[in-house]
Amino acid sequence: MSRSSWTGRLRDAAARELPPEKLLPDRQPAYVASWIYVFGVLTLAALAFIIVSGTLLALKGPGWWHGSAVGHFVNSLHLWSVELFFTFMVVHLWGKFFMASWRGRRALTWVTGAVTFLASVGTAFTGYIVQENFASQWIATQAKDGMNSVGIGAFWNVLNFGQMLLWHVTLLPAAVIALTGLHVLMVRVRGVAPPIGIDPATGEARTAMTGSAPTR
Amino acid sequence: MILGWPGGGSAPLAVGLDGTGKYIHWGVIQLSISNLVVIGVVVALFVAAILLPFPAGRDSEAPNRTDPPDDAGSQP
Repeated sequence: MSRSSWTGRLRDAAARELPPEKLLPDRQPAYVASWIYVFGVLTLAALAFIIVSGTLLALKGPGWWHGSAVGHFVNSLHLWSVELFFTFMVVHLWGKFFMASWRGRRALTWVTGAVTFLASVGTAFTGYIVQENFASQWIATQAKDGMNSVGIGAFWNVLNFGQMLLWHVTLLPAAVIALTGLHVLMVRVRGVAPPIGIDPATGEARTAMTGSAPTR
Repeated sequence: MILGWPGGGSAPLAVGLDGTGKYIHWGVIQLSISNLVVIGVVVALFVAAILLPFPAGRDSEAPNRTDPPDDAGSQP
């Protein structure tokens, strides 16, 4: 049945692609029981810590994160959440790369993950620039030459604190969060990528399914 | 090693930050020891994630996310 309104068609498509049992599953294939499959959700957990601690830093300002004990703690929480975020994301990336996780119509899942990684690099870079300390001044003046060498210094001026701060606290986090949401939705739509050689329908090795009868 | 805090106090550090960093040079590649350690930790984490056994959960016997009918999986 085709609906006349775009909202109805969108609702039908969403219900078709993401029924509740697929959107929030309570069971997963057996091959997911591996540590290498844990690093995606670890990355999400680190991102949650980054968002919460970053929101507190934005609300309180540099006088607080440089000048009070609690501010120091939240500042460090933000930094180390980022360190863990990238550590987990890189292990997740390596695992999915060597698993060729774009198989099975998962190209958009792979692409959204890769673009999220790039957006995260930009977000972290602008974060290091807006620390409001000597390190941030050093990083900005060094990066300025790098930006100019590739011809984008006029548009992306790392010495312009206001511009970098707005990139860091609004535009880039919004991109990372939106891309992460789309990435997770694509994982839900297409399912978790199976290891190479595993039949996703049975969770068993393909050779046992398609080869000669197993010997006993 | 002591690092001054803005509040006037000091905190002990596990590593020295006052000196210049140590770097390794390999052709055009220049890499700090600290970055090399971080890369080593991430590689070790990746290898451990592949090799270490995952603890069995409540539903470890379930092969699939899609539950088959109760009478479908029985073998003669």
